[in-house]
Amino acid sequence: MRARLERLSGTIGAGVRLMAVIGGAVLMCLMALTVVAVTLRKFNDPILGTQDLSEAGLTIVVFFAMAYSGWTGGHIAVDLIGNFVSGRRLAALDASVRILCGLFFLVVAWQSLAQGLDALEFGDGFNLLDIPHHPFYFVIAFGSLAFALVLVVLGLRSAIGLPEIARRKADE
Amino acid sequence: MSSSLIGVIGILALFGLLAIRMPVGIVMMLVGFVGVGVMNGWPAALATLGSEPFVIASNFELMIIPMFVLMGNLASISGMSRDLYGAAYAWFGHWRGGLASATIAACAGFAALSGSSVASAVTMGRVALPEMRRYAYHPRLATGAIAAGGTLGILIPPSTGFVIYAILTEESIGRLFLAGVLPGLLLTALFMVAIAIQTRIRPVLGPPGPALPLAERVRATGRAGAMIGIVAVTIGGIYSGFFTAGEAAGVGAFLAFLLALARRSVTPASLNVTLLETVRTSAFAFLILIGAHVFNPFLALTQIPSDLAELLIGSELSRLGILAILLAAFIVLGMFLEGFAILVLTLPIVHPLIVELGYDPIWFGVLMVIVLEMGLISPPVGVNVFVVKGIAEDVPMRDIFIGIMPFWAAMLVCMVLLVVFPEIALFLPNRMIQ
Repeated sequence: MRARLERLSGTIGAGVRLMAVIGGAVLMCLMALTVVAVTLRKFNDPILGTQDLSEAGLTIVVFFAMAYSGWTGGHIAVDLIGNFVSGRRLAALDASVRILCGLFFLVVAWQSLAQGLDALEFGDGFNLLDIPHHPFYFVIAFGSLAFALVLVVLGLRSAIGLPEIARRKADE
Repeated sequence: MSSSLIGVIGILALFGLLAIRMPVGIVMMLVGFVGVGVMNGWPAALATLGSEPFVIASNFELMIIPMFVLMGNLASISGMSRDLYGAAYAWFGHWRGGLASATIAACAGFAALSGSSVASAVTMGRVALPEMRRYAYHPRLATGAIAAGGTLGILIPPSTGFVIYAILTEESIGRLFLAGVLPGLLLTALFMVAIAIQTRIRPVLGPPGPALPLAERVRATGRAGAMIGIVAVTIGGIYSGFFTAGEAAGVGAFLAFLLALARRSVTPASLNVTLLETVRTSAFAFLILIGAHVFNPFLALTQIPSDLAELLIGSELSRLGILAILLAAFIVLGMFLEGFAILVLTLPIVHPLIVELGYDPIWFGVLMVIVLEMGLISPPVGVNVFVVKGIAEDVPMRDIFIGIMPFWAAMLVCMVLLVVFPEIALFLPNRMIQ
């Protein structure tokens, strides 16, 4: 069980990192787009739909990084009980909380998918370029699904006493 | 069951889930989802859960968050922190306690490139601490100056604290950024005064370094010129209406990238790490904002914010009395909760009250950010203190907290000055070209 979970953790770690790298690359593109748009606007030749492209790109940046942030301990929590509860109880609590959060994000993924299908049916799109909304709802659904998987695996790791991913990365 | 009672149960559940270490953003989403479900039905709750992530993640205004985080991270890898410290050292190093003052000044400069207090403390701490040790500075003064100086990161624009405040209250990000400039400079000066007073009473805390000739000081300032140029373009661009705050962030990040390229500090590996760190930080900020936007409709349904506002306004307390109670409550909360968590948890309740009392929400935003700064260095969970402890492992936590106290008092003085003279915060935004 431990070895299998470690192998799964390795695969998930590589996967969410790749997603975050793609998000970072999109962010660099958005940075370049902003600079070009501002410059051309000053020459009275603005790029049509800069805002649409930025909004669409931002969904990729955010939701392709959501799971990586969770995997590396980036989502803040308030630690009021860490000093008062024993290590084993804390691990059990962390396991329950993470698995609950993972299940909740499965609902988020399902609802984003449902909204995306609605957007596809009704032909919703961004204002100027008429880029359809639904692919970006699907991006959010995919990112939420990956985050849910990360939370469940982190919960299982806590449950069987495997070391924390974030702490292990810090030690490295 | 009355809506107020459901609201109270929801808020208790929120604190209960926070206490068992559930991430702040998910707690707000979960409680908001269940609350809306109970009050408005599950189809409405599920629809909120499906729509809000898209609404927030595709909000053009919020592009400012990853862009300014990227700008700060690129500034970190490009070595600008060393130039900044060198310039500040050249001018202040020969004063008594001058290296600590130089640390504060350099932190203020770095804060103008980075919206994060932790990033400011880490970056400047690594540069400044060895220098202060070399000149036998007392560890209390050295670590206190770094921890306190780092907090300027969320007051001097760009500031992630102001962005979150602006999004939650629908205020202008540009106006909030400009409102933070003069209080940021005032607090920088007050920190330096705190150092001067300490070293006058106990000169051994911070002996003076050697004085540099004027030509060397000018040269050191020149080396920091590129960073000053980036700040001038971004903040000046917002003030003059040349571009929006979001565009300023994109342009600032691009200029920081060019500078890092020119200094040959960008390698594929360092760029990869910088981008990963940027998107990681951004995702955490967005999760909190999504959580707030699922939680707030529930809170509005319970009518708790309006009931509380009516209760306080109908009480015997004066406007100033209510403000003092709010600020005192924030200071206490800051000792236990993370700054972003305080903002998203309390603003839906406090903002309507502040507006009802006739206070300027921009001015109040500056006060809130200063309170968050106090929380960053307050025991027992002051984040910046732990950051400094990571850099100065041999200095006991107790000494760091003692070293911080004079700076904490300086923040209190700054807050009182802002309450007495609101123009300190409002002067620039009121003159901004829209």
